[in-house]
Amino acid sequence: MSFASPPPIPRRPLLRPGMGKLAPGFFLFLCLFLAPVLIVVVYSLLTRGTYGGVVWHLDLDSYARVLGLPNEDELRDWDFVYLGIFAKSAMVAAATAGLTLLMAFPAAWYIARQPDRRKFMLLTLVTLPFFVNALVRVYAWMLILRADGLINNLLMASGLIDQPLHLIYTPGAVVVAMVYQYLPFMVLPLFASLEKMDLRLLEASRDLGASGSITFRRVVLPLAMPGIVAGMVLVFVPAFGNFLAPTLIGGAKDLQLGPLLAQAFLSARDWPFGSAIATLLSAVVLLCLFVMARSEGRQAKEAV
Amino acid sequence: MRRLRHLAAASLTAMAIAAGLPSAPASAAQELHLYNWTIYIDPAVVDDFQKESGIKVTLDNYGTNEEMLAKVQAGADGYDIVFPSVFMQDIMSQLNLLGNPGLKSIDGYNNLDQKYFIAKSDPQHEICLPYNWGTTGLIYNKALTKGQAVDSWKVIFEPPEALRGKIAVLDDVRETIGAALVYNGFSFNSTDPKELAKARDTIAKAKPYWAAMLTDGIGDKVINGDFAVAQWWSGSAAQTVASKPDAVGYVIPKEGANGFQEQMCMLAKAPNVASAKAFFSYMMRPDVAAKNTNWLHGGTTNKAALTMVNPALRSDPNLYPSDEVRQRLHLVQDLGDKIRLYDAVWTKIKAE
Repeated sequence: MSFASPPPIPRRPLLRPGMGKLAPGFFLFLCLFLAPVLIVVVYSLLTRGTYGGVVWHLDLDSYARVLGLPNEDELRDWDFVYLGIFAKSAMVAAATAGLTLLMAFPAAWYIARQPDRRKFMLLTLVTLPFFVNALVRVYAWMLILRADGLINNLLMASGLIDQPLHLIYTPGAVVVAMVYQYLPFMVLPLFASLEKMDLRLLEASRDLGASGSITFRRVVLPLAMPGIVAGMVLVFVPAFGNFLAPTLIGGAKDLQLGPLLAQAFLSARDWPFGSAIATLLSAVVLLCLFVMARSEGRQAKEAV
Repeated sequence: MRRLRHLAAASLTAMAIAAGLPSAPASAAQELHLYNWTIYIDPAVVDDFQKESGIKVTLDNYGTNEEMLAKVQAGADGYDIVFPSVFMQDIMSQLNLLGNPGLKSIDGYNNLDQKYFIAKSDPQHEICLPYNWGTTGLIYNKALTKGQAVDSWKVIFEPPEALRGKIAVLDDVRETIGAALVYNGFSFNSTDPKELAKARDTIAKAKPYWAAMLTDGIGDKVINGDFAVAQWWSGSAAQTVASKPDAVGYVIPKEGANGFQEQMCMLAKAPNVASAKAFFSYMMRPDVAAKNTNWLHGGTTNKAALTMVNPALRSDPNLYPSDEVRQRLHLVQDLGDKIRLYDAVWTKIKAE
């Protein structure tokens, strides 16, 4: 750490030699990300076609509906049902990210402290579930959680309960399935942060009289923060719009964003409304990524 | 409206769309591309047709009418025949997506029983061949419902204490709201906001007693006791009942129910018109129609095929209902822009 203020950063020209190497990646980004997002944004501002599709006529009502504004032509009163769905999905995603962090941290810590060969093997094991299709993994949770599933059968056989517990089709079940689904997204960035950590800093902290918990709070956590933030974002973002888990494990009883999107495009045949939801969802995701980039930028500066 | 494993089908379709399917190679051999619901045609029927005609058949699957429409609208070229529900036939014909295979000139056209469901856009079954019909009723676990009356929608909308938390309802906007409308004595296709509000309240009151809203794998879960009663499609239910006749049963609620029917339609852009016509005339043959109906545990509209339908199927009043019960079956109608009313009610129900 230096106490001198960093030298002023010189203004850099926008195009620099060597940037041509970015062209293929940039082109892909343009075609496969930016263009579709633009189409979605444009569609969200148009009028609904009776049988799907859009009519090319400006209509902001989709956003008014999401935000809960009343509309007399549509017999609509103030109604915050869609904002409620956003909030509920955000809560479920946040709970997922939080639980994933709690489970991943000790594992990442352990892996980071192993000899290199073992490290490699353990990391391979962490990513192993990705070899199986996500749909199959969610179905596996259905088999584990159902009334005559693994957990209930074990508990019944051991005599701890005499009626099967109601496990599947609850919000908790959705969180559990998503924690499992996204655990590697948390373990890997945490591992990257923790592996780089200089263990001598922990010794120094103890030598200077800090207790274990203070060392954890003041030394380990700040050093692991880039990994924590990256992991939280990587879990929160896909969990926020998840479709499979709420539909299959949640029994689709508590509407969340993913299923709501599918409903807007399919059964309601309302492409502009679905696009408006997708646009807002993308905005939230971009905000998360922005927060992550900011925090990483700050970390990088502090590390100078 | 059978949606066995419709999610799996949906994700497969998503992949298919991503891959730009279907490709129609320009080969000399005759081909036929079917686009049907998941597990909705007897594979042996397809095989027999290939052997007999020498036409090579490919079969892709979808999980909902809307998914199929979206894909055909998005320009999925290459399919010859699709299997929409009656209301979706009406929509597709308004959108000029259907071609005319000239059913009237095919041998066996006169075998079609005209008392079954008829599309408004096709009052004589000239454009599309009625493929399979059935009802949406209740499948129940006999042991778990012992001593309870399972003959009315009441069992899911005002369930007795013993069945609470063991009820599943279809995750389908029209089916579920429709059942609540019928339970309240209204039309399955009502667009009256007051009636819809009443249906919404009925569902809101019952929802805490429901274990789940879904469309998949319901039969298994009724057999294993996850659910005691579930709203389900008759064909799927009948297959489950046939596998465990002592454990489960199926009933059409006394208030009435959704009667559905899928149609076999040729697309306007069908690349293999001759093959498609050959398949229509093959499917109109009584022995073929009966074979497929037996496999589907479904309903045929082919009078000549009826005698060859499995007697267990044909004699079950809940699968082949009497004319009197048939009066109380409502066919899902296309509601045009009014579908927004249903969507608003549905979102409200599901979000609370």
